[in-house]
Amino acid sequence: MADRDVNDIQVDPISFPELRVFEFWIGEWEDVDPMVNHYFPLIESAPNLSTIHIEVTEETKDSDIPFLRDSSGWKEVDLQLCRLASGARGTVTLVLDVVLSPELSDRKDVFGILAGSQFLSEFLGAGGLIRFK
Amino acid sequence: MRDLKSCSLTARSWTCRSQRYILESVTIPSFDHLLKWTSEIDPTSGISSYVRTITLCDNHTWRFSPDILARLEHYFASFDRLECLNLKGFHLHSGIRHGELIPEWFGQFRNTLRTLNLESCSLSPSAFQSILHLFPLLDNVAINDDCHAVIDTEGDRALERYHGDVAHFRGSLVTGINTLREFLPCLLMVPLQFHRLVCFFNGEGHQIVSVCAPTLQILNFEGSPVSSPPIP
Repeated sequence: MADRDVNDIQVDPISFPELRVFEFWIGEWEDVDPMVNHYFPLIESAPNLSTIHIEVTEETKDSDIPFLRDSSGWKEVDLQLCRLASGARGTVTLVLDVVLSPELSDRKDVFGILAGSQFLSEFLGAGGLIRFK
Repeated sequence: MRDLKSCSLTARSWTCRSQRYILESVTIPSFDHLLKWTSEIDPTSGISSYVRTITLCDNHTWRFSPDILARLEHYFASFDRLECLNLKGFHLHSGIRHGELIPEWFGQFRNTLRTLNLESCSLSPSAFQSILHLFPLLDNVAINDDCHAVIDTEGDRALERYHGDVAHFRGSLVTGINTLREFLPCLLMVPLQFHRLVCFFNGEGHQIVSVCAPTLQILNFEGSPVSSPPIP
């Protein structure tokens, strides 16, 4: 079997009639791309979704924060999260679980980016809730 | 005259009640420890019935010979309420002497086993498939990334159609990135109805998610999406 780049994987959207919890972790900020290109497009519908759990691992550093603020992919992440929240029958809780490390001094910086005020109002409007851990 | 067993300076009434907790999970770190267990525990005593989880470690210490099997099989059968089997460091492929007897060893747990965890094992695809087929109540399967496929002969590669009950594999499937790649064909031949899936996102991850999607309740992607390295 030939080597295959992950970007070559054709993501076919799938319906998840029973899915309640969707979990993944991000570490370095390049992981925004997998979310945008693979994870979210995979979920065509998940009407029973109640929790999206994103763990921000200890690989995340303070120096990543300014980079993330300028990341163009994040807007797409916001849109996809709102899409999943509005497509669910009940409330979808976005759980942001940030692991502190010596190179990440304050969780609030990460929360501010992952759940900024504009996204927050859009997500709440779509029937979502946000919980920080 | 009272026998020595009945003479005790401390209360013994707690021993029966506590056995179900003390013996709930047992780890046998080598084949010698297994022999020690069998030499000290009477299989008719009911002690083994308290064991719900057993962790067996091989690391090249096990001897799968027919005479030992004959000697030990009633000890294995005495674990008559075993629900979870953890196999660590086992080598289950045709390169192992008397490897064909492996199902007879672990098959003693077939009436109760619901969870199978494989860690740091080398096994052929056909041995993995045999194990999946061996336990009719199996709901949870974990095969970690320290496991790898070994193919010594064409027989190691041969897979058979599944003839078992379709009402299982309904719990949790946890796979590593390489193990999913190597054992995906075995998994795709059993009726997958897992409620929880932990895997990496790559070509094989996408495939297993697609198959399990109708029943999945929890989907957990480990790590970042990764490309499949070439099969050596």
